[in-house]
Amino acid sequence: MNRRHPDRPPRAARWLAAVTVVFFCLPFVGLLWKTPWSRLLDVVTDESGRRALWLSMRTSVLAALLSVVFGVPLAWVLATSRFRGRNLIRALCLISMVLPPVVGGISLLFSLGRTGLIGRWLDDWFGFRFTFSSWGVVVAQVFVAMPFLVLTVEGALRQADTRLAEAARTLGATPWYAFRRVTIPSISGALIAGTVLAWARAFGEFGATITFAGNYPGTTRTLSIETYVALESDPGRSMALSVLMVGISFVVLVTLRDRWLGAERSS
Amino acid sequence: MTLRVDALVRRADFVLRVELTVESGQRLAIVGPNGAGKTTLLKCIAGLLPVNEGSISLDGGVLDDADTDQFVPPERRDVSVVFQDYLLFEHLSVLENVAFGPRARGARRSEARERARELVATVGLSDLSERRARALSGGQRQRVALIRALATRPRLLLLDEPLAAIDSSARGELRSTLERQVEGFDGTTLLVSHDPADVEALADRVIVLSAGNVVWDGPVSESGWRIR
Repeated sequence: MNRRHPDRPPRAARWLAAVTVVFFCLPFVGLLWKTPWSRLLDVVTDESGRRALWLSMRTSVLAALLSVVFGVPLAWVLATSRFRGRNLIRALCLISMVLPPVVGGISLLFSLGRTGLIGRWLDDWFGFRFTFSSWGVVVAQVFVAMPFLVLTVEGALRQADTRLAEAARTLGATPWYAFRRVTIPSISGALIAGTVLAWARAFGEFGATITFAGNYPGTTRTLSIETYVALESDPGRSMALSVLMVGISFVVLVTLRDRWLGAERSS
Repeated sequence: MTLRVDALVRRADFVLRVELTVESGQRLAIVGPNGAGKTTLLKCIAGLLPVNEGSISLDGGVLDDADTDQFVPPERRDVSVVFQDYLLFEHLSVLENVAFGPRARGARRSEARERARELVATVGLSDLSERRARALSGGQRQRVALIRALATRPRLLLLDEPLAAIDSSARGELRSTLERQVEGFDGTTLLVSHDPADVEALADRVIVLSAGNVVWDGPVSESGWRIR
């Protein structure tokens, strides 16, 4: 009989944990088992697959960057200011996280779409339309992905020692300078985790994108839309594309986790 | 560099009421029991806490005035602080910590590092200048905090229990280092301490704060039992 570690969870909890692990792994086993591996190379080299992959990469990285640029200041304000309606504003900014993506897409369509509240003016004045444009893809992705970053960074900023920023201020740092050089480095683990989460959500985004930006090869048909479209006509191709997406997401999550989150834990 | 404080500050558990003038170059110690308002007073002077009534001025320039609603933010006060727990920037090296102030005030990188290098040498830490702050011992941290505060050439230096976190065995030597640095500093110094030895080494004048009020004010030589 092994000596038991005092904080080892009880047997029932370990069994339930094991069931959960199986639940998460089984779909991938099924996918990998059925995938026509010989076609994996085809989907990244043929015209349609290559365009979708390139579009997804471009838009999701841009969406993650925009989420950082706009999401970090929002998280900063939400974490440190007290004003009436703060909780309401936080809820409004984070709601897209729990909303069905198609609802998000419809909301975007009737606000920024060609006939929407603001989209109509964009069209009239500048001749600019988000529909069938890669910018529409980016907007849809930012809309659903940014909350993940805001939530992660806001949590870290609440935990961060505000006295460090105060020390920086007494040394001559403006609030921006102190935030950039002292506060941000002290929450770098959370910032990176939030950025990766936002990127992953943007990379996999489907519902809001197809509803708002459409499904046009080369400009709005992302890898996930391409995968869905292929499911009807050519299931083998759709499986190969799925494996590709699983692979990309997995590699990104694992490498960034080891590189950044692991390092943070050990220090 | 005359510091004038005539202010009232309301905190959750006490009210601080201080009227105080510190002449240029003077070294003032603030002593008193815990919760008397010593750290609160330093925070107000540094600009980390606004006063509720009255004003604070330095060399005739207003730093904080509740009546006219003037408030100079900490980065424009030329008031440096050595915090009780030092608050070093753990992710930066010793040199970068010391160069932080000059950099924040717009000095060029090379200039700021040069200034930092000189200061690091004066406290015998040149060998450690590239080491991360998180890898330093207590005594080393204390010295870095001190020269980081001096690097900006402040008009006023605030020391909040600068040796309280140090082992008693190392305190004597660090106190001499501190004394030497304060001696060479041409501005005004305010020290908060519980340790009579600190007060005797680093101050000429003492005020005793109790429950938010100044209850005694005089030269160190006459303070006697009051600082014990």
